[in-house]
Amino acid sequence: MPRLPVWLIYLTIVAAMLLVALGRREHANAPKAPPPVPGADQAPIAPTSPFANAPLVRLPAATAKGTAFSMNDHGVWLTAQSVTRRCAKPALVVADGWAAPAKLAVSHSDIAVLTTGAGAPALPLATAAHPKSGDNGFLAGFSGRGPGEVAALYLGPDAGRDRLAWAEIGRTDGLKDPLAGLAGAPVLNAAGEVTGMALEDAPRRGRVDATTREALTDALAAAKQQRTTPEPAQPISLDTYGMAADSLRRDLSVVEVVCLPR
Amino acid sequence: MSPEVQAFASGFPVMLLHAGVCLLLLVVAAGAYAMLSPHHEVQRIRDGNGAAAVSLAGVVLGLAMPLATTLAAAASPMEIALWGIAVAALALLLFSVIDFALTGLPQRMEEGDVPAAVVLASAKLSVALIVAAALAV
Repeated sequence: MPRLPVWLIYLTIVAAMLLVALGRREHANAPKAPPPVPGADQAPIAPTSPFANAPLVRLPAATAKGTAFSMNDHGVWLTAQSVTRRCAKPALVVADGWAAPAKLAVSHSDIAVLTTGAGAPALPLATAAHPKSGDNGFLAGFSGRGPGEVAALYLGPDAGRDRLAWAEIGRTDGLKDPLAGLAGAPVLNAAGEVTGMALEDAPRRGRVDATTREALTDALAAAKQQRTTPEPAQPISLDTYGMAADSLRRDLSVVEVVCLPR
Repeated sequence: MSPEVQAFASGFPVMLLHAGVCLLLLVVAAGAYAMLSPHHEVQRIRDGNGAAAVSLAGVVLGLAMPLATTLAAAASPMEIALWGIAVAALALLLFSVIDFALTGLPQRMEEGDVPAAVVLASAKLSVALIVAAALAV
């Protein structure tokens, strides 16, 4: 009986694994976010906005850096340390074309704490210290080219680093780029509570690295900042995470971080 | 109990499990290569062929590199197993392509030509390094 060429055996195994990978990939995508309401030069944001009376700056050619989320109604924000690196003047986009200048309170490990003159509704922190393997997580933020969100499954602790690994299973329709802009985005659990912060994605491994919940509270403590008691969170599912992310962006609980020119 | 001891107590069994899964994959992949290889390196080594030993060493090291990167980045035994099987098969496929591309060198290795075996092993290690880098998080 003629023996199969050895390369054909290996090629068959690789091809079979590729087919299994493509066949089992989940596509829990969310629809695109609605377009932003354009701001006018004289009335950049609605009078009901928490930033209506805050000093704002027009966004010239600011560089989009990442995402931040509110931990205190009076202007305390968390973002990824990589977002504020090499940025002397960070600012938070609070209306189309307008941003609130932010101060870097402290950089603690992977996390940066920012403060602003006004604040938006704080997000609640998860009660459980760690998610369980297979739990859903939802990242809401800005992809660098506009609003974006990602649905993920919890994989486990990232080996050798004090981080958690999440497997991406869906994202905003049409979002093709790497998820650099989602650095600093909250990772929300199915109860709608923050269970960590997105740090970076690894597209070749199909995963997103995030902080633990404790790392967030440690960073707030290092900055000597307090959380405010948030409103109860709304549950999130694979069917609703797009709308939930839109709602958080609309409330300015999740905002885009930009770097203003010097 | 000190935090160091606590971390060791909870981490050591997990480390053994993860390393064990990875070592098992290395043994299975190297064994599969040894069984399927048309060059019959193991028999040639037994016959005293030093070139075959160099060639097989290149293959085993070339399998260990991407498997080690898989282990370093994986979060669970299942992830080690899935990625490990995939990268081991990919590495073995690429080693076959190298044997085909470097026509004549495998035959010279079979005849005991050590320089030919060194070039062959180097090419396989180079490809393994690239596959390993692609796996790094």
